[in-house]
Amino acid sequence: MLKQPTVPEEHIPRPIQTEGRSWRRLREKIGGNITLLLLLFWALVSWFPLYWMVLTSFKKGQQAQALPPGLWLKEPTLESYQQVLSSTFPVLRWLANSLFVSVTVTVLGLLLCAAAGYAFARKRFRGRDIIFWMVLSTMMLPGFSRLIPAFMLTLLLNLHDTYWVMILPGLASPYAVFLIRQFMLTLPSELFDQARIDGAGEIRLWWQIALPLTKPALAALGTFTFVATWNDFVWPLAVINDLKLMPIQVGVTLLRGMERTGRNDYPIAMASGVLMAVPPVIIFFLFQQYFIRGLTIGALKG
Amino acid sequence: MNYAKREEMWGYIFVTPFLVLFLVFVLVPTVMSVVMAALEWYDRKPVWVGLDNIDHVLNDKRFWQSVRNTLSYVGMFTFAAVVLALAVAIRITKFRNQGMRQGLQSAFYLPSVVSLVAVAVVWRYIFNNQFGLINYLLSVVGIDPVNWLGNPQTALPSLVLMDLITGLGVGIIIFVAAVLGLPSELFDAAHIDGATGWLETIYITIPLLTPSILYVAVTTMIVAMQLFVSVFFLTKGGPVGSTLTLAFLTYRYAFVFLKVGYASAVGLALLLLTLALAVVLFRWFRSVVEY
Repeated sequence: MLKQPTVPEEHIPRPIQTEGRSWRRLREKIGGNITLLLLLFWALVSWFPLYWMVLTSFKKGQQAQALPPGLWLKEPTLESYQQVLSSTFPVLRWLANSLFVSVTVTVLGLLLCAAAGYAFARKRFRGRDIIFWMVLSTMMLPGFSRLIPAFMLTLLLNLHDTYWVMILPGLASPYAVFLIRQFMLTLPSELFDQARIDGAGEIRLWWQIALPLTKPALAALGTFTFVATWNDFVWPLAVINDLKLMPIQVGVTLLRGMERTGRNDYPIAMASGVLMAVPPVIIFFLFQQYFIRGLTIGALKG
Repeated sequence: MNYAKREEMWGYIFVTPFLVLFLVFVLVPTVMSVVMAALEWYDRKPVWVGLDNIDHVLNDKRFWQSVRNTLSYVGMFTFAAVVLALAVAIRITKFRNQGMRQGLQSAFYLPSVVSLVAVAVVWRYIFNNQFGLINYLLSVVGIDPVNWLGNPQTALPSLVLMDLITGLGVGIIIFVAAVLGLPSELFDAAHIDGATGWLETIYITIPLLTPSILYVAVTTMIVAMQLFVSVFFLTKGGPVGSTLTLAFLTYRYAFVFLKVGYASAVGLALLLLTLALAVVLFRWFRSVVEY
């Protein structure tokens, strides 16, 4: 910090400059407050749809069309939740399906990708760099262009309408492998050499040394994978037709209020929205600091 | 077995389970996406039709309409998302308190965690013509109601607005981390030269962030090219095709009209267009970075 001059104001030789300086300071202060207000405004706007969803889900059918729309909750009712859960469709089963698929993909996917990331980072084998480059380059491709080929492939393999078809394609994530590799490259080799001298086998090196040190990346990826799998819509929509196997994202499209039909159905649609939004939000709150750090590993070290 | 051989063997052991699934569910479908544009399917059996599908696609007005819509959505969304995320992120980094910064990052990320299906349904309500919130607010100020999703002029911009409001989280988090990671000496030097506030942001922070901006722009663009869920729930491609996107067209031809070959050709176009845009972005940013 520069020391402020102790000379009285009027003795400073060039008064124009002081004027400029205080003017600038004032402008900065006002500018800072304006941008702060804009920031808060944007935060409010981006949260509002979620608030609106939760609020409407506790309204009665007709209240949702009232003008002016009620911005606060008057006479909350659980009616629409009851209607969703007691509908003729197996909504609870859909939630369970989503949970099962998301947890399985997260756990198995992390193991697979952590093994591959470990090999790419710390093992030397022929073709390693070419394979890694190939894995990386697919990250630049839109997944949607694989929808139809993957659909035909799984159809020919007779995998449609099984849990497998929702689990297997999600396991091999190039992004996860890339992130884990970047992370494992930074681990000091001495740790591995020491453990090897102590007689640790290859599996133990991976499981007991590499994996525990990669925890932040794994936690971030785990959260990311869970949320992405839970929210996946297009793929299960294409390959699952069996009501009992549908994940919640696909199932809700069958519920009343989801299609643009009746006018009284918004609270029901919002209640289904809340039901499918809650698990990822909980997971995010539990792991948010890992999540934020993990997202930036790939971006900044790549 | 010597050390190098053993090392190599374990490398393959660790990488194989991933590689098998990667081949089956990523690499093979990617290669197939090129081949399948030349096939048509009859009763689960492929028939080689050569360039017929591609010819059909190139002569289809709907295809070109989808290309235009997709590109204008991607253009509007990517540009606005990068600018807004950058602005929000830079403002967040002005907070000295680390807990405050993290809290704000989380707060801005949270809406992106909620499934697009749920978000789309809320927005259908908010955009509703008669009792939607936006039209109500407009009526308070004395503006006539707008049929946001039912008017070809406003439908696509409405989708952009909706996705902007929920989809900035990742960009903000990456930009905040990038700004905090910049070397502080540069800012000290700039302070001595008299740069503060806006000047500092425009002449120092943003140029230094070009790699992160490129990363966010490319990943945002790739996601935006695949716009599907909001179209599926809000507009079904309408009105008069004004929100038909390549992804939605692919889906509709494959699973509604059951013309798999034609849909594959559209999917291939989506793939090539995305790659082309990525190349354009890389080139463009490289020319900006080299002073």
